[in-house]
Amino acid sequence: MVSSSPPLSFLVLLPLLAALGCLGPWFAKQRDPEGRLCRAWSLFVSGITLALALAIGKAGMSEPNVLLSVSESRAWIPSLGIFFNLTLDGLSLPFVLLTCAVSLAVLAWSDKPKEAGPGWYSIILLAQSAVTGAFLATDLVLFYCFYEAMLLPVLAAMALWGGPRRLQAALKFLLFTVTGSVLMLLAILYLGWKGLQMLNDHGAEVAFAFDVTTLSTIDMLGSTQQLVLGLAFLAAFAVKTPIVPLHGWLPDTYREAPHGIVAFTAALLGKVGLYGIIRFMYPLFPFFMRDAAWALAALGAIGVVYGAMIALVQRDVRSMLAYSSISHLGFCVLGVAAATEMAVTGAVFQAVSHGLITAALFLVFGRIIDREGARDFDSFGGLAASIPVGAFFLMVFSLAAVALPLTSSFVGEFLIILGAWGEFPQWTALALVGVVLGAVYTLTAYLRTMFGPARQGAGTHAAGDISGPEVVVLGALAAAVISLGIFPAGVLNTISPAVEVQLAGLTEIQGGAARAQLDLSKEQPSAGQPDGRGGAEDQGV
Amino acid sequence: MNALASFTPILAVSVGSLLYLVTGRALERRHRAASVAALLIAAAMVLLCRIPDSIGESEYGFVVNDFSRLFAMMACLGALLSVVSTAGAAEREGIGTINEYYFLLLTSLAGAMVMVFATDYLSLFIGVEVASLALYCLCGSRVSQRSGSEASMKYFLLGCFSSAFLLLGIAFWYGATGSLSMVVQDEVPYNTMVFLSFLMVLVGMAFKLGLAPFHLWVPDVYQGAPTSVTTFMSCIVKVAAFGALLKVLVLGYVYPQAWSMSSLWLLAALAMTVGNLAALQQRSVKRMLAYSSVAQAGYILVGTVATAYGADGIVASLYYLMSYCCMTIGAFAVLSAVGPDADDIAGLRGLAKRSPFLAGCMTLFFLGLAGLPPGLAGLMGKVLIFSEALSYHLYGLAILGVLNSALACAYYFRVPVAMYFQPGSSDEGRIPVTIAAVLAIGACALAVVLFGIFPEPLLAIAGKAAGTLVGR
Repeated sequence: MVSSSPPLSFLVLLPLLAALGCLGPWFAKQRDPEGRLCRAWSLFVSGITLALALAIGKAGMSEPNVLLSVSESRAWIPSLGIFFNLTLDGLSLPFVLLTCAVSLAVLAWSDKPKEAGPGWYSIILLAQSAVTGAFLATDLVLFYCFYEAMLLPVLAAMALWGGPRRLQAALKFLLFTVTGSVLMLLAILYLGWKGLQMLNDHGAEVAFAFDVTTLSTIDMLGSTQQLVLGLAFLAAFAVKTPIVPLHGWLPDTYREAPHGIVAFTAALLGKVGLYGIIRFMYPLFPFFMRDAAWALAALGAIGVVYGAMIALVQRDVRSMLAYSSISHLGFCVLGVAAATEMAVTGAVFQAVSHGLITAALFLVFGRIIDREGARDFDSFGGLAASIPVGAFFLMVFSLAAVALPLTSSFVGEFLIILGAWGEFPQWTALALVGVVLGAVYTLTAYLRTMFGPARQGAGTHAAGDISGPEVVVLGALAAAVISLGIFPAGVLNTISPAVEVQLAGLTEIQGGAARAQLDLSKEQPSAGQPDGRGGAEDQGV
Repeated sequence: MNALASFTPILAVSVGSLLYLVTGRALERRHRAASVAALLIAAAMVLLCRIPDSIGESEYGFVVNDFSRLFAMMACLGALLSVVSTAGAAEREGIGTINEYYFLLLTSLAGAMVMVFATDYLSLFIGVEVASLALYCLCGSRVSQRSGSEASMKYFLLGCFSSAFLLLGIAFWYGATGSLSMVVQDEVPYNTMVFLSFLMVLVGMAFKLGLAPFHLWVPDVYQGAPTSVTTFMSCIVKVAAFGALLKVLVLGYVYPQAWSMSSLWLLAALAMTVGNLAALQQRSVKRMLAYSSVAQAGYILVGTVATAYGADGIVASLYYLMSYCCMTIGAFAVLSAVGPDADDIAGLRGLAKRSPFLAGCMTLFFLGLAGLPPGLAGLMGKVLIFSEALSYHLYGLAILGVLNSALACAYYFRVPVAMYFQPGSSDEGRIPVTIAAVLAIGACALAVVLFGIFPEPLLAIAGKAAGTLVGR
């Protein structure tokens, strides 16, 4: 482990302190009613955070594109083995950069709820701080704190500035996520207690009993324990991602929350779930992940098709985007479940790419909705003539969303398909159907919005075409999407060694099991039976 | 001399309280009464720090050690915070007799301190009665209000009932051991008599703690009493009764038996579930907080069940109790500052506009109670409690506990929602908050955050106290 010159905790603390700084002017609203000062200040801090993340990442590269893990450790409650442990490696770096970039984009985007005022900026900064913390934390209790903390700014923004049914939506979101995460909390506590015992038995001086790296190295869980604990973790991550039967909160949230917050949520919150599966579940519960892989893959593929089919028939723009998110994330889940290095790397890449694209789509469509004063496709039409710049960017991101070659999502989806095909050909094939459907609903949406007869909706036309800072934001996002699509190698080379480390536990047991079976078939054919039966059950369940 | 010295904190409060009875109306002007009360409590706290540990067992049935000192300190701090935060509120709430109000309040504190110092059932019972009798009167101190009188009457009747249980338990204990001391001298045979004694004492204490199914007085009393009284009692009753319960369990019923553990298990499980389910239905904030206190008492008990009276579990319980006191005092103090119409949840609508400070602190307290950041004290408390439960294989209790805390979010969030997201019905101006209240509520709010960020010092104190109690 290398200790970095600028500590990682700055990435978390900078936005947090800046947010508290923004709260001051919020109370003195009459001084700065539009929040111009706050806007400048938060953009400045967010920009610095992005630069800092890049710098730390750059400093941590040993040879071209291979990131050592940069970590930081402080005592929090050492007597219980709880530490303030942060790590930046090839897996967390893309997500941290995504967080910084999307936060900066949302902060720079000038549309915000009319009544929001300066509080808007502090809420985005708070959310950025919590999400960054979740992507960096390796101590499970610390991770849990950030995981819960990221919920509150989003809830607050939704309840303060959301649509007409915002309170119900917020409550639904809260109950779904909290129920999942308290189960995870129990599992975390069990792991920590077990870990502390083992470490004390071995006479360790500093017991990182809740640290995922330490826990994964001490082999302490039987397969039944892994099943129970793994299910508890999965409950939290499946709600957050969301994986299909647990996606109930998502459409309501995306319909009711303000545009900027939806862009933030869609781009980042779900990624925490995916990241959690790779970061925590693979090292901690390799047996569970091996046995549950087929179910995860199935749920992922079903999510792709289900999300796409529901998205096809939506009349409301934001519902369409919400279900398309479910569909795209299903693809990532499939990749994660396949557990080959290529598929998981692809899933990480696709998650980042989806974050960039979906943030841009929500922002642009949000502008269109505000402009027209309506939110269903029937009231749009012929907008290409009146907002040419918006139409151009929407075209770019729509094509990126359907995974056109030369865009980043093409690379991601291609890697996932390639990596998952060997493991789950049937589910990958099903997911491919979803890709086709995805092209249909995305392009139809574009068609119905931009072309056809112009409709004069009830809109006030208060918001004009994309201009000024928005062009910069969208231009930067588009540049990122396209450059990642053309030159993915650098990023992929950073991700894949880290993914390999995460999958090491699984590879080991797979290798071990194969060896054991080989040995058994040679020497003790009768003792091999239980293994064989177990395998059959796995297939059958 | 040493024995007398150990009484000085209690004497400071109880003798000091007599001042209110002899000064007539002189103290009734401009917060003078509250300042005197705060000074007396502060004096008691200073004395608490200075009195030496008792050596061996005192013949007065009083033991000063780290454990009893910590609990007495918590009781005093809770009383101080509630007196300071509600200074002037008593007048506003229509309690006509300010002198009697502070006299009773200090007497109740003295009784609570006797409860936590006692190692003898007789002293314990005297403490319980002194504390309770004063509280019965305090609840009804708004003579003009029917709900207050009703609450007082209900509290009195049920309280007497529970005292009877406690007395019966003490009688059985005397019958079994031939001594009133909680500390068992020789090996006590576990027979029916001890079993009955355990059950009776537990029932008596569960009444005081408000653990389901003995919680029926809690909502009526919390709601009917003036908010300043509720602020005081929400903390002090829990602290004193929990201190006494721990002592009885650890010192007296030394060897945890299957039946004693399972009755505690049942109490904790029932309290969490019944409290939370009932709180879901409430429209009144005070009733909601009352039921939530039932549930929170259940969480606190989980730590104790978990380790079969071992030190680790007691540390978890103590930490949770400390953070819970800060949250509940803070929440009731905010209600008291908002005014008498804050009982219904609708009365809090638009509070964020009328007083951003109160609304912000209230949100923090409710987040803490729900166990969500940034109310980190509540979160760390839950982490400690449930990790103890897991490490002693109480999976059922732990799962029940976390599901309950997820369920509890549904009602804890109602108050912040009303304060921030629902417009006030009447466009009233800003709420005037006294500087004293700002200080006390701010201190509670800071504690809720800082206890979670720096839990080690608190854990060390709690660990020392628990070690003193357990390490016989």
